[in-house]
Amino acid sequence: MFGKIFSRNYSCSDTLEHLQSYLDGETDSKTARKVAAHLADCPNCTDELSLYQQIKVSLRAPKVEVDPQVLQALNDFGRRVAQSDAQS
Amino acid sequence: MVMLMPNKTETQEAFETHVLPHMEILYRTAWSLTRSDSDAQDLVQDTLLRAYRAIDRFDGRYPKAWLLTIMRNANINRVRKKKPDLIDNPEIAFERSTDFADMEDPEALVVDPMLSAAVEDSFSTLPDKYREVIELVDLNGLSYKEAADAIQVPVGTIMSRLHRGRNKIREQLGEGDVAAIGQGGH
Repeated sequence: MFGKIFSRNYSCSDTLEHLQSYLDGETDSKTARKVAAHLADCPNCTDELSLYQQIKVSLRAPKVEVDPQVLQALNDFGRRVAQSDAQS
Repeated sequence: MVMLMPNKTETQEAFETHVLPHMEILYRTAWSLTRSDSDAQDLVQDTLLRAYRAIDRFDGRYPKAWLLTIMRNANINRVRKKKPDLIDNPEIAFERSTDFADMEDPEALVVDPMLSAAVEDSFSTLPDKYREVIELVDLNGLSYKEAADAIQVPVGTIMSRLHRGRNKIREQLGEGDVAAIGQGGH
């Protein structure tokens, strides 16, 4: 009964404090339920969760190997674009 | 002996300041969008030309987001030219889009190449202690406890380094980058 009396919904700051652990599946079930309940009603915190999800997924995405010669050629191209205009 | 160099124009200086330093992220993003070396180089070159023409109107804030928006639009034009039927015939476009269902990694569906390149760029600048923990948890899929055991630190240390590291990535993306990326450059 006391649990129900003193139990309160999470605010945005409570949710943000636990957001990354929640995303990683590292919160206890009670915290996870409170975070989920808050997210269901709060678009701002949901956007924040989406952003961290994107960061996490992006970090796991395969990395593109960059050939230094290609990069050099593109840098040369960029400089030529600027110089050709400056000289014209 | 004094070398007389032609004065740089303001446009040229702005281009060198705001565009050239981001060549690597431009190429990585272009490659993610095209999956081809030659197409990626063409797309970067197109982006550079468009950026040069537009730089006088650029306010200097969030150059990465600005460039990636230009690249996104350039890529839309590139795809339209290559596959005009995608625009003219929605049924063909839909049929082709279902090919994604056969992809091996379902996560690939939700990776935004623009955001991915920006995140990778920010990640590479993080201090080692944050990168190490992010690599263990996000890249290698370890739990906090497993990561703690791996580098012999308390779980709380893993959690704080991981969260701070991701927060730093988020901060480096900046509001402008996040907004522009989230809008898909439109």
